[in-house]
Amino acid sequence: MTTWSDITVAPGTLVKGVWRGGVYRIERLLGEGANGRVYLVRKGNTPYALKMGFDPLDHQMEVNALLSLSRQSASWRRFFRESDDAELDGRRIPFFVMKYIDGVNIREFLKRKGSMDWIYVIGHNLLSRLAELHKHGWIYADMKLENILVYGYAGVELIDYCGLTAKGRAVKQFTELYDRGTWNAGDRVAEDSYDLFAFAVLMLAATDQTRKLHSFQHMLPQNRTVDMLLEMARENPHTARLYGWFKQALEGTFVSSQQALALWRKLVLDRNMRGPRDTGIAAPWLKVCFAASIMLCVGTVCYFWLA
Amino acid sequence: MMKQIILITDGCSNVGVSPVIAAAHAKAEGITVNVIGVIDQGELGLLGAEEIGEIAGAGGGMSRIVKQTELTQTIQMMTRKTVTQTIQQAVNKELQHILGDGGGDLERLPPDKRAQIVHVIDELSETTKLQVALLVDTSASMKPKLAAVREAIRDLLLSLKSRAGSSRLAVFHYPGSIPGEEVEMDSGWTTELAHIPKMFYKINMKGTTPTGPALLRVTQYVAGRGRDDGERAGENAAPPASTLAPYGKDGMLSDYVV
Repeated sequence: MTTWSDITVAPGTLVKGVWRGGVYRIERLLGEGANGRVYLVRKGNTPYALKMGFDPLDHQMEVNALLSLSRQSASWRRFFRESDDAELDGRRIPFFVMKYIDGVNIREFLKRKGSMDWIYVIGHNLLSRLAELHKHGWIYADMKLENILVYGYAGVELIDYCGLTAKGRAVKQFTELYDRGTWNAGDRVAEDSYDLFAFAVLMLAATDQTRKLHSFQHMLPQNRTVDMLLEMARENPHTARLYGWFKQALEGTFVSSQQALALWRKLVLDRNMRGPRDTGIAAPWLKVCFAASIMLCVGTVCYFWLA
Repeated sequence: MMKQIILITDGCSNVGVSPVIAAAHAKAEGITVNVIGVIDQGELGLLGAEEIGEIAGAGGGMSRIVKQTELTQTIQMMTRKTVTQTIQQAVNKELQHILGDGGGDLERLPPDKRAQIVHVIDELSETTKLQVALLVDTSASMKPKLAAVREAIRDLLLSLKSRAGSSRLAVFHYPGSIPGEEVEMDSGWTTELAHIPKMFYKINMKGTTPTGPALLRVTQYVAGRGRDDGERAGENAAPPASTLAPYGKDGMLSDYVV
């Protein structure tokens, strides 16, 4: 098999596309996965993330998925820039260029913000993103902490599309801990409920303070059951309030990700109305500001509506 | 129809025909042979590692030496890669035929053409009919690893069942539990393995490791009885040794034609 994993691409190297001629300057290595390496690059002053694939076939499958998505949806059109080949050390290496997201994984984000309350809005944004994918006929499949970046005020982006699978097909790439097949909770057919299961495990992984989920990794898969995850969701104070949601996701009873999103929003907003605040002090001016921001929002909407 | 044999072993063969020759026979029958060497502690031994590589080489497949915790993932990966690679080779051949020498190399194709070709490969990989026969070495040293093997079988079947194209699995182990029998069938072609938890309990603890003869028998089964239609529950019972005639062109061909 052709692999260039032994080739190191030093900072400052110019990567030039053989077919389209785009030139990118390598800044640093961002990460390495099973299918390739991702570098932070610049074209002019604009930063991008550039992924070089180890295997041309696997790489092209990811590119195909991204191409197809960017034809279907404006947000992925902005995410995916181009694909090409580079000549490095006499080897031809396929690469593609995507939007650079200056973010961190969910656990790190929560740690930096110092409040677990952010998880509910991260969950909301991520579920919206998933629902959008599902609407276009795709399943993300390889949902895990490493594949999601959180930035700004809980903005989320999926950054690895190797697992992307058309609905109804068999999931090809997954991570055991998040895979419902490994938990004896269903098959590996790509459907909304497959991603929702993985999403539920992801939420548990992000909020797990006891490293309990981590310990499950060493357990033989035939001994794993959904009940263990449900118990975790019940014991963890941050997920216990959404227990009804976790039960449906882990048992696969949501009909669609739209339904899952609707319930998440309902539970989270209800929770925020009644529950005590995790951090921060209530202040009267906050209400005024809130009212003002609502007015502003309504105003903006009306403006665009009339324009 | 795509046919694969995955051999799971942890050491050297020591009886009968060379497994490398057996694997070459399998390849000649259009069956890809992949080999996984399972180690727990220490090494497989130079000889074992070499043999594993050679069997896969002759069988047109891949070989990996892994810890038992990596077994499940390795079997998944091998099965999938073998399918896509086989299809890629067939597609490349066609392209070379049309475009001339070197024209079929994925890397040499312009991006839009490449995208189309890979789309076809992806599509075929998902929908092509697939038969995978697992051949498990159950000689004494493998005993502590059999729980991991059972888990890998369960997991592979789960993925096979999720494919759009029809997929079947058969499971064999060697040496057989009856003295003199090289291989024993645990399950003929199936999509359901209800009895995985009970698999490989009745095993022969004698010292021989007849990898070659066992591989030949399974080749015969996959080549001859690997038809997509006509599988019956009755076929799940292990065939008596006499129906698995000693390997020979006649026996093989007649089985194949029927």
